[in-house]
Order: sequence, then structure tokens, then C-alpha cells
Amino acid sequence: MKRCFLITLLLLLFCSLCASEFEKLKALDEQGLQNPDLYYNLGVTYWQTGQSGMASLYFLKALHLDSAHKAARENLNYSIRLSKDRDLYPQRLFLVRVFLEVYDFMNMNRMAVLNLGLLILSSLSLLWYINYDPAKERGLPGLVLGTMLCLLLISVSVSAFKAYRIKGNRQAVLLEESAELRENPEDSAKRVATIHEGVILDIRKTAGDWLFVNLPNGDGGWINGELVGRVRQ
Amino acid sequence: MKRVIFAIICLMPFVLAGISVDASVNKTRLSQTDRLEYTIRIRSNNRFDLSEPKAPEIELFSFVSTRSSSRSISTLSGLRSEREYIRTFTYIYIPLKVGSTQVPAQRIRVGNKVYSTNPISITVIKSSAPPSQGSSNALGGNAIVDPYASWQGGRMTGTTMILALPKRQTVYKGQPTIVSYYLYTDQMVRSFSLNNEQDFPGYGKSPFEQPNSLDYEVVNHQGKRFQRALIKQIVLSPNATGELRAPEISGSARIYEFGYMSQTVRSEDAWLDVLPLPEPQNIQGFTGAVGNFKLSYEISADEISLGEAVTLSLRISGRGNFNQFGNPSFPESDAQVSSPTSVDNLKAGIEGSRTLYYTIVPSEKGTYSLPALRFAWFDPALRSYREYCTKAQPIKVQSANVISYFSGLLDGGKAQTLRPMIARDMYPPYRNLMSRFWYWLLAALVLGATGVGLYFSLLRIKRQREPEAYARLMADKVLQKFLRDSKTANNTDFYRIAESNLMRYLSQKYGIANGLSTPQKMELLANMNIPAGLITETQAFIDNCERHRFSPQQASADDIGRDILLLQSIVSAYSRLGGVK
Repeated sequence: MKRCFLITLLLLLFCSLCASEFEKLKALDEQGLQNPDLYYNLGVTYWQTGQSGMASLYFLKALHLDSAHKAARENLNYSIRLSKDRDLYPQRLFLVRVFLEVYDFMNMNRMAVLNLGLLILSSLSLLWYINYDPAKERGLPGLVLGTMLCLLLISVSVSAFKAYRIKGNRQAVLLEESAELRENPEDSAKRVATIHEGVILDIRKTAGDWLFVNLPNGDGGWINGELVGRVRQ
Repeated sequence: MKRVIFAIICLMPFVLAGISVDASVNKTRLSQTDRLEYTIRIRSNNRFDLSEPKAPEIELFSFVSTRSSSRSISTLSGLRSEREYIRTFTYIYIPLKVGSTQVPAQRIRVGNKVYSTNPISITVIKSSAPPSQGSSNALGGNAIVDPYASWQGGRMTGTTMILALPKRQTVYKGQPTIVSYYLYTDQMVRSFSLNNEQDFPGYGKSPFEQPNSLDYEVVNHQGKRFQRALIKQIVLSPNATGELRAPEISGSARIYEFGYMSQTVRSEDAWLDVLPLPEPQNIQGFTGAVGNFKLSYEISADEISLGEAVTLSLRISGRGNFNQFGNPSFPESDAQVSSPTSVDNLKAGIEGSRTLYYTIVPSEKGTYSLPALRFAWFDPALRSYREYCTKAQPIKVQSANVISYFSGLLDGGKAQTLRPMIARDMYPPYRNLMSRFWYWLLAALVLGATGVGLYFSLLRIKRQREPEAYARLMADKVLQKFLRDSKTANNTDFYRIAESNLMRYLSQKYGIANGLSTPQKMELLANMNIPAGLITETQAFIDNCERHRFSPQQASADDIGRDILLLQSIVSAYSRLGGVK
């Protein structure tokens, strides 16, 4: 019996030594560790093994945690450019892209620091305004105070909006080579569209195992939930 | 020992769970004109990673090509849905000789485990019939349809033949060459239907051109006048040295000679002499390229911020065996470098350009030395190796800043390659600042400090704008404190605290100097139109306090309770009077 145990132990040790970097990353992920670099590296590895759906899913997971993860954003864009459904993604105007870049750059941690900084500046502005020489015109301190309060309000609102979006992230990715979107949540329902691995979906509602999803171009349809991976479980 | 074997047998199902590997062939008995398709199929209930296994070497056969596919199947088993992932690799061979052979057992590695297939016995027999129509379709089909192909006549008087004309008779191993198939005729050939294409060992091939119609030109062949039309052009890339036989094509020509009739025509034998490549000496970066190439390179930036990528694009253009050589490997350097992505613009895999994109992410700020990338090839025209080397170049790597994040905005973020993995020894859990206690403590401190600052600022403003109201406010505060202190004091301290605080209160409220004696303070109060009764009452309380302070006996609780009430009534009376007039 001791020998059996010893052999089992040796086999397990051997398997663990053979485990590749990929398996180590997967093990960390299965332990529930949340780290954008871990998700990014998993995405790159999945891409290298030909699983573009899983790659996109993990790039999205990295961006879910840290929207300013530039490498994950670039690799996701690269994956989208090579996907069969790339035409489904809308072409955005330059100014919209600029806005979205800034929005993504300001991840939750940067927003937190910005909020704190603006709070301090607003407090100082308020004290400056109140203690300003009453004999003088209060135009400048008033302007500074008003600006700071506006910025603080905007910053807090954006933070709240981002937190709401992160908490309610409904993104998912198709993991199969292809799948059909249907009019109703059943296999026999009329086909709406055929989509391919890696396409990013927005889950709107669920009915049992079926999900009603929106494609990047806004079209919607039902898909079996087992075929997709959700960014936020 | 038995126990050990028993333990291993018990563990085997866990190790091998879920994956099955099998091999099969399309025919175990085939003729010389048939093709052998050897298929390896891997099934699993889970997704698995697998690179393409090497084509097995089979005696009597020559390997032609391979193809692979992957699919997944969902099945309903009761209430459960089961999914099966299947990957298939098919290897195509052509027989070289008649005889019996065996496809050896293949060892397939899936993950960390190795699976083995069964060997399969194959018998090749002599072909007894010409190739069928079905097999020709599989090889590419024809472009010129002949509806009368089944009807054959035997009354023809002229000559119709197919000649295979290699562009070069002598080539080097790997050097692609075009073989043109011409229909030569002195008859009225209206159309030609290509039926079959037989391959021989020693080359890889790809179609180059196949016209849709017979476009004749007049030529002399062996002293006789013919008209000829191009039927097909094929690119051959020799992968063995020695004599190489070009593919043989056959088809039926529709000839008009007092009525339409069909004639089966087969191309005449054509041979190429394949020379071995000379031994590369002191050549770095040779990956098997043979041809006539021109190279250029481009670097996306010579100054970047840390974390950004610089892209080196190497463009290889010209004519050569693009489909047979590998990408040059990037030299070791202090940066993360992706596998190159190639973008081809090729005709038949031999002519055009290939651009390789290398993404390089320097790992440290400062100056990164971009190493020289070498690419070598054999030039058949010069009969020697040539080498191209990009210039080693310093790349300035600055600290990352906010602007560097937006550097990809203008080009629409169109990365040419996948960015490589990030080197990390550890992956600490990602924490949101807003979920940390100290963040909110800091925010509360800022808000608290602001509140305190506001309070004192407002007091200061009040003192400047309304000094009386401010004085009253301060006096009320002192009073509150004084009453609080008096109530909590013990017997001996009560009168001392009561007296001093009452005097402080009066000083604060009416601006009386603290250094004056009690009678002087009372006199000043009298001058301030304070009612005489209140002054008398105050004087009496102070006298009472002094008496108790210097008395050897302690005051009783009743005395203190009574005096507290008295003190409160005095202070209330002063409060009602207002401040300094």
C-alpha cells in the first residue's frame, strides 16, 4: 500500500514538473486569482494555440480589470481585425476614438486618485474663496472654486458610471468555431445570423440556457449559453 | 512489483481520460494510379492543444500533401449536453511501386501525454484501367467542358499531342520552375477537356495559370508546322535532387474532321535535372530560401516610451520558393520579441512579396540596441548564396508617460502583430484603490480638515464683520464650558472653578481686564448699565466662593447643588443682557 502511495506521489510530482507555463497560468486562473497581466498572458497563449475565442475572452477579462491595459487592448484589436466577423464592428469617428481612449486610459485606480486630488483642490479652493480679502473682487477664487467643483462632480460621476459598468459587465465571447443566432430560444427557431469564434457579444437577457445577445453592429438574437464565455462570471 | 503494476494500471484511466487517437486509410488495397489517404483522428471531450504531427514515412509511397480540420459536436444524452472535439490530419501519398507495405504506428503527443496508433498494412497492385473521371476532379478538374467526351472516333488523320515544356531544364533543389503544358495539333481541335493529372515523387506543386479557352499560335516543331495552345502552367518546387519527372496530364480533345470526334491525349514525358544546393559556408540566417530576392526593411520608430512596441518590417520580394523557406529568427536581445507575422502578396506562391512584422518591446528605459536581422538565400542565377542584413540601430526608450498611452491613436490601433507575453514572476491580486479602507480614510480626513478650516474661517469672518456677536458667541462658549466644568468638579474644586470661570466669562463678554480685582470689576460692570441687583448677586456669589475655598470644612452636596442653580441663574441673567454697549 505504501508503494502505491509512493508511486502515486511520484507520478503527481512528475506531472507537475512537466506542467508547462501555460498550465501554470491556467492553474492560477482556476484558483480565482485576478490579475490583468495574468489574463493578458493567458490570452496570448490561447492565441498561440489557435483558440482565438479564448484569447479574446482573456483580453477582455484583462480590460475588465484594467481598462488602461494597452497591450491587451492592442491584441484584442488585432484579434478582431483577423476575425471573420470584423465587419460587424462599427468604424468610429476620430473624435469618438479619442474620447474612448481617454475613457479607457482612466481606469478605476486612476479615477480614484483623480477624485482624491480634485477633492483636495476643491477644499483648498473653498478655503481660499472664504478667506479671500473681502475688500477685493472675488472673481478669480470664485472661478477656480467653480471649476474645481465642476471637475470633481464630473469625475465622481464618471467613476460611478465606470463602477456601474464594471459591476454589470455583460460582455461575452463566442468560443465555438461558428454558431447560429436564432429568433427564439430554441434550436428549431429561424436563423438570424451566423457568427464565428471570437466575436464579442453583449448579453441582454437570459431564458434558461439561452441568452439574447447583441452583436457589435446592434443586431440581436438568441444563442445557447454553453457556446459562449462570459467576461464576468 | 505486482503492486507497482497494479497501481500504474489503476492510474492509467485518469491519465488517459477523455482522449482517443485512431488512424485509418481510405484503401488498404490500391492500384498504382490511386491515392492513399492516411488519416489520424483525435477526439476528446475537452478542448486540447496539438500541433500537426509529422507526415509518416511509408515505404513504396511518396508523400504529396497534407490537410487538417477541427470540429466540435454537441450531443444530447438524456438531460445532459455533451461536447466532443475532433481534430483530423489527412496525409496524401502516391504509390511508387507494386508491393506490400505497412504504415508504421504513429506516436501523437497531446499535452503531456503520448498516444500511439495501430500499424496498417497496405497492398499496391498494378493498375489495370486508366484513371477514372472521379479522381481527376479531385485533382483540380478541367476548365474546358466537352459534351461529346464519351464518343470516340478512329478516323483521324492529323496529329494532336501535349508537350510539357519546363522553363528551365536544370534547376537547383528548392528553386521553383514553371512547367507549361501545350496542346500541339495540326487538326481542328475545338476544345480540350482536362481529365487527369498524375504526380511523381520529388516535388511540391501549385497551379500557376489555366486558360479558359484555347488560344492558338503557330509554331514549328521538329520541322513541322503546328498550332499550339496553352492548357496549363504548373509551378514545381523540387525537394529532392537528381532526375525529376514532371506531372503527366491527360484529357480529351474535341476534334472537327468531317464531324466532331474525341481523342484522348496524354502529355509526353518531361524531365528536369535537379542539382543539390552548395554547402553554405559562413552564411547566417539561411532558412532554405532559393530564388532571386530583393529585400528592404523599415523600423516604425527610433524613439519610444517604455511599454511601447517598435515594429521591424522586413520585405522580401522577387521570385523564389516562398512556400518552402522559414522566417529568419530574431537575434537574442534585451527585449520581448513576438513571432513574426507574415503578410503575403504572392502569385502561385513563387512570385510577389512577403512582409514579415516583428514586434519588439524593450524591457528597460535607456537605449535599446536593435540587433541586425539576417536573411540569406541561394541565388540560382549567381550560383551562390547571398545575404541581407538590416542595420543595427539604437532605439531611444524614454520613461512612459500619459501621452505615450495615446501614441497608437493616429494609426487607428492597427497592430500588425500580436504583442508578446509580459514577463512576470508573480501575479499579485489586482486591488481597486476604491475598495481599500485607507483610501476612504484619506478622503474622510480631507473632508474633516476642510470642515475644520471652514469653521475657523467663518469664525474669523464673524469676528471681523460683527465683533459683538462674535464676543457673545465666544462668551456663550465659555459659559457652556464653565457650567460643564462646575457640574463635574468635586467638592473642593467646584468653588475655585466656578469663580474663575465666571470671571473669565464676564471678562470675555464685557471686555474687562482679568488683572483687575473683583470690586474693580464690579464697578466697571456698574458703569456698563448692568442692573445693580445682578451685580450684588454676583458679588455675593463670588464672596461665597472665596469663603468656601478657604474654609477648612468641605461644602456639602446640598450647598453645591444650591450654588450651581444660583450660578446658572446669574449666567442666564447676563446672557439675556447682551454684549458690550
